[in-house]
Amino acid sequence: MATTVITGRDISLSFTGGTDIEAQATNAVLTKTNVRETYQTLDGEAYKTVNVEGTFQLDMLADWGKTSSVCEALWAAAESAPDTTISVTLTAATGAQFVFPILPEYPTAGGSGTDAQTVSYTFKISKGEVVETFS
Amino acid sequence: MTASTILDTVRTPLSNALSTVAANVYAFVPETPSVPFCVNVPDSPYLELETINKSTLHTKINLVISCGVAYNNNAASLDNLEQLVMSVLKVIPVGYTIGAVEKPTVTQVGASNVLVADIRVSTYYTQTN
Repeated sequence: MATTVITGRDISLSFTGGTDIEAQATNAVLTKTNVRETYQTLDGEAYKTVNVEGTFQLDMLADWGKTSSVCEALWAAAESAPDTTISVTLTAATGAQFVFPILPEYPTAGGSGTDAQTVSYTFKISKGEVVETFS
Repeated sequence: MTASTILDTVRTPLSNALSTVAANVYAFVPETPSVPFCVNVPDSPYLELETINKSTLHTKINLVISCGVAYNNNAASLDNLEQLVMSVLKVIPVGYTIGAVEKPTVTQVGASNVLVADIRVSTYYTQTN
């Protein structure tokens, strides 16, 4: 079977709210983790997953001042409704879609004189709830 | 709707922004530039695909603004070049990152010697249609 290669350019990403995140995002990584306890029994190690957690890492070119700015939308959300989730849809490649709720974080503002301003977020995924669709 | 081009969207607007400096400004490399001049030249790498997704093409564009003055007298030429570079730096529009200004070098253009310094700039371009 042929080797499949997918890249970051295969990713599509959208937030509720209609901001043009794809024009700004340079890196988008969803991480879902089992929180697993390990028990030492007389039979050896035993495992129990006690929770599921998730984070969403997003790096982007800052877009302060732009119409439908992602930075401004996230700032407003973090300020007005910090515990209300925002739904994110990430398609890693055709046939592998992930929908998950993130809790808003404040973006950073500013940067160095020589480079484009960038923002890096690590969003917590509410309750680790990721709905995947594989087809 | 006509597809956008880098010439129309990036290089020509950059040249227009530079039109207030005391030099001949070119959006592309002319056959024989007249000194003093500013020419927009592709840098290397020229285009970089930094953003995710490919349904709309967003690219980082690296350009060099080559500034050149007549090289007749070393002291005056360097002063003229420094003044030209400073005047260019002042009018580079928003949306551009400005990198280093490279060491001036003497380049032969036709029968004349020209003192040239390169200003590295970058911006982002979105292809429409």
